[in-house]
Amino acid sequence: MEKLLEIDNLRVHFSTCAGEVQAVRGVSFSVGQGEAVALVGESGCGKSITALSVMGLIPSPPGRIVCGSVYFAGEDLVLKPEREMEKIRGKDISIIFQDPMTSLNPTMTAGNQIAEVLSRHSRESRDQIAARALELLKLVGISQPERRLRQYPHELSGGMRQRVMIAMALACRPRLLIADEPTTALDVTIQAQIMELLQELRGRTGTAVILITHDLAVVAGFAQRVMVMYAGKLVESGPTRDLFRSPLHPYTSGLLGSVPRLDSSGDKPLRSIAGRPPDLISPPRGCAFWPRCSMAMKICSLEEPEMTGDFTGHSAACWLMHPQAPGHRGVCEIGEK
Amino acid sequence: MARYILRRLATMLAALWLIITLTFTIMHIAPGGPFASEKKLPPAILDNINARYHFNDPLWKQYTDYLGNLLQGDLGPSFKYENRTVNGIIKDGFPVSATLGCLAISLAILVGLPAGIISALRRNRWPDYLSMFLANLGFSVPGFILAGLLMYVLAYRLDLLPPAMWGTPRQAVMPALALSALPMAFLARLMRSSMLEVLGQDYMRTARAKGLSERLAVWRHAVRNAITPVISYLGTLVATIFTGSFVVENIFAIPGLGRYYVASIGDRDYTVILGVTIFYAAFLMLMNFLVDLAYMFIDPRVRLVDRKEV
Repeated sequence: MEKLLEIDNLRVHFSTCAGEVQAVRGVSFSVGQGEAVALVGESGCGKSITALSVMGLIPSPPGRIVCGSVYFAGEDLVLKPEREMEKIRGKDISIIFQDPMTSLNPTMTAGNQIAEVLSRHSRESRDQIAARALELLKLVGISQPERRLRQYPHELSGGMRQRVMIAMALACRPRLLIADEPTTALDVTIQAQIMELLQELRGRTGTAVILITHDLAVVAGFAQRVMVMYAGKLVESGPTRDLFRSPLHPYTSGLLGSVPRLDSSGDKPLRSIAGRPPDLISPPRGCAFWPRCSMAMKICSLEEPEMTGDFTGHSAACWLMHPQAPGHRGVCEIGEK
Repeated sequence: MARYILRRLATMLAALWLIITLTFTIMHIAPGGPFASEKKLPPAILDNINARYHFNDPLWKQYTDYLGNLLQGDLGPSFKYENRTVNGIIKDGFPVSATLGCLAISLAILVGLPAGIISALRRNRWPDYLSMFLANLGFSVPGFILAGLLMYVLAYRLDLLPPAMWGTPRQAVMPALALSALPMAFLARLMRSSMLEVLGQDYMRTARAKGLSERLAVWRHAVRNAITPVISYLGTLVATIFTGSFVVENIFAIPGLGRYYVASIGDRDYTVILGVTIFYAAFLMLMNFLVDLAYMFIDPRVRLVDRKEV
């Protein structure tokens, strides 16, 4: 598969009054043309910041990209001047944000907000743009699309607003769509509808999608590949099936273990990972997860594990992957104690 | 919509009636009368005057007579200025006050809003510090002190502008400046904080994510959202300008309505006090009403609330 996006050793820091927060600490991954990948991790692990870096939308100050590159279609976006980035945003790469309640301008009609992207990136006439906006609303499956065009965000439901966001994001047929927690702010029933829509539109348009979420249930049916982030780094990545069936990293097992299950009996308490993510102002030496890891060894607190993997593309950054580690590759069984 | 407007008009009339009644009562409770300060008159003549102006009638009759005349649009004669009616005073004075007021409001908006926007965009850099310093100054220096300072520096020391009176454009500069300082400062600060709030909103990030340039994002998305609280202040702004103009008109010897109004209170010029009060009250209520209407056009969310209400 040809690579569309390739992020290499990306580091993003934010300066705060408490010190320099290392939000993203050397993330590398790639996304193929038309591929659907998921970036998973708990709040504050740097997944959204990674996405904003791709868009060139890191608020600066206080944030800045310290090093690394973001190659999109062969060009490094980090080095691109702002003017050039403006032409890419919304056209080649677009993003759907988490909260459709606040991500739409309250004083502009849905139709105008969609038309705005179109008129920014094309030279079509007003009528053509209006027709396109209507077409897009139909595409995202909104009822009474003609009426919705003239409505303001507050007159639409949460699900409809997210559909408008999706219509906006897909307006210029982007090659890469970043969906940053697109369903987190919505009701569960609407969540499923929105994910179905994204899935369907991806099939129809062939757009590559990076789905950012902390909800593993959302990932399973959508992404071909999953990347797990912890404390600003990738800790595991692999084909969705493999990763769910046999997670390599104790953190991933912990995440999978703390998903509530319908088929488990109600008297068992929901499992969680003890402890809290580390302070990213002064991240711990070695593996960032070791203080919370039930499998931690001496080496974990001393040296950082490299990403190592097998031929299927399933890899993890964990010392247990080392051939000399005890219980090599038997992580998930032990993790379930 | 039509029902909303009708209801608002009805409330305004009720409020106006209340204001008339209150003013009438307070005015008559206050000691003295229109002719108390004149030199001692023989009782027979005083009786004549009182009869001429119906001061011998019981108060309730004076009150109902006044209301009756008011309904016909007649605010009565002035007790102080011979051969002048209150209608005439308003007709002469109001255009002057209105001109001055409009100048001051335009100045406040044209300078205050851009200053606030620039402050917000250049937050914590020198343009922000400069305009906020000036705004705080304009905020804390009362209009009459500013008027005096302007007169001293621009007219007396530098001899750039005529010190007082009304008629030429040059004479309007200083009073308009003095009058607009406070609302200008207020508008700048209001616009700044409102812009800062809007700039941090998620939809601004969405606007940037669409590929809009910083400038377009600010103009199309930020300013319109940030301006709504400012619009709601405009009603108050008009009131601030008019109360401010009482002082400024006195200082610069401008024959506006404010000057007559202030003088009429000292003179116990009953009809002028009442007439001008009614006029101002009606005018301010009308302004507030227009602002509310404008608000509905700018912020679509207000429209919805209204539709539910009606």
